Amino acid sequence: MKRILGRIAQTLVTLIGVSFLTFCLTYLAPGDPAMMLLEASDTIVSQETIDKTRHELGLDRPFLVQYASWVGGVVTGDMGISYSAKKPVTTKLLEGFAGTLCLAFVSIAFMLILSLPLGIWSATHRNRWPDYLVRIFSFVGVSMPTFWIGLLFLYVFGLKLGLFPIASSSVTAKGIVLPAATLAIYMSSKYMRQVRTVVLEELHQDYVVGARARGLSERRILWFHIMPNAVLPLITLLGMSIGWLLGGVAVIEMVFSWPGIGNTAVHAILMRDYPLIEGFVLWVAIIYTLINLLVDLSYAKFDPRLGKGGRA
Amino acid sequence: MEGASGSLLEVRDFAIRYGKKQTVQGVGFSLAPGEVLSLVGESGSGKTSVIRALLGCLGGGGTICGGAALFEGRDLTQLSEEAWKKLRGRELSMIFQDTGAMLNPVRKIGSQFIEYILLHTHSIKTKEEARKRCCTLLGRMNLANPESILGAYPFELSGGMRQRVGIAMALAFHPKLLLADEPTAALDVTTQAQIVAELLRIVRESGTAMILVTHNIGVAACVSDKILVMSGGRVLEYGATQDILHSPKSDYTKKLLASVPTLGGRRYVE
Repeated sequence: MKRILGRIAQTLVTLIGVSFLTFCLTYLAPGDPAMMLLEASDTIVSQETIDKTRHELGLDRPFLVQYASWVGGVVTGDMGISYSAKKPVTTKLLEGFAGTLCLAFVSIAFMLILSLPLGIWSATHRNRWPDYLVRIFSFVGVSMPTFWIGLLFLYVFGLKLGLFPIASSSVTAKGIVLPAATLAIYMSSKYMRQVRTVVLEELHQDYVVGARARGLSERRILWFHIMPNAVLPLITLLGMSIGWLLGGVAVIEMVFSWPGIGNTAVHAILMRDYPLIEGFVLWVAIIYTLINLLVDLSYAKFDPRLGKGGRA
Repeated sequence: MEGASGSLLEVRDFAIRYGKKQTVQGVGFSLAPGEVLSLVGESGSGKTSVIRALLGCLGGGGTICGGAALFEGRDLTQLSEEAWKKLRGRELSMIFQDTGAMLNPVRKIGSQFIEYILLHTHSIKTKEEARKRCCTLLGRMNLANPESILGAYPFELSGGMRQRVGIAMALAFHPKLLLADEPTAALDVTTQAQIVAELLRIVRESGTAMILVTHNIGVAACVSDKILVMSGGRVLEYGATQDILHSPKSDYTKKLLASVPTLGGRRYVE
């Protein structure tokens, strides 16, 4: 319990630090948001109008005051109004999040379906042809940039075969296949190797010899003895991947015009939409720290040695 | 063949190799049902390799590269995986130096014991029945409160308790042959004596033959009918316990015997 509270406090400190840094960065970045906002409406602007807009947006106040009012808003769920969309930042982020969440979920599912069996297969057939095949696949997968795999998929399955849409303006089952597959292939290349390494390591543990000596079948040893041990290192990796995906995989979302949070972020940066950028960065930080927290807390569930007074 | 008549296990000219290095050669012995044989020797003499090979569980890339091991007339070195399934853990079972390390660290002892019981007994169908059976078996090893042991993880028990659990599991199916790999080496001296006594009682009761691997010739002298002394992967001396104790032929055995401390002018081995 004490450990859990400690971790939560740590998480809060991290979040405050991140929010401050984000605010600093956007504050110091060149380019005037008031100008951008006015130029976007295609009118010729006078210095007076600019000053007026700056005042309306609160950009003429001192730095710390701006930061404090922003944090105050965030805590109450108000992250300000997006300059470019003229909508509350919270609404914009939630809109994008729906698409990103779907994409993350489906790509993780694809990735697990692909990399768990292949990784295990590779480990149990070490240095024989299945192993070589999987290793080549993962090497190639890691070497190709995601946007390139994405473009290749679009060209073959979208343009040539016409099986899937080339761009999605809303979240659809058909539209999610290609971006999710692209992400899954990229992640699988890493995960397959990881699963292989972990399973190989566990295969040489004494408890496996013990289980064999008791006459358990190899399949039973693999699924009921090795896997419960192998998930531990994989959970950490999975937490990082989920964080990465929920932060919006901007490149993939851009390539497939997927309506996700990464797409929102890229537009916000192009538009110098300060409140939206800040909201986005804070969002990513919250996701990362919360998932890290969950991963830490889940260790005790998967490894009883940590839960009952073992290593803290 | 003489082995076919009375003996349970007949090992002939056994050889084991790790990679290109041959570590055990020319090992031979025979064992009658219910008999206890001790394999004695220093660390690295190949005694653990021999009994692990007998169970088909050689680790670290080791292979049997010669000889035969006839168990009730069947050569263990030639068995298929299918045939092994019927023998391993049932007719032949093993106790390790540290049972705790041989159990899955993230699963409760109960779940692993029940899994084992259900695997080999067809008369027991439900987990509840299996759980009862586990409790009976643990009770036989003088373990008070078997229920709480079944609910514990291996790391939560003391070394002595874990070893008793290991013995209870290994003897669950009244195996014909028990392979014990230094079952007490990781324990303190008082617990060692208790566990050896309990192990011996239960082995005698169920008529199980046992091969005990130990580096303690004192223990070997107490419990066994026959002794085989190994060094550097070869047999130095093999015979009835009394013969080996009273007229050791090799210098190595003499040294081993001389190293046993005396108590009140009498050696423990006498």
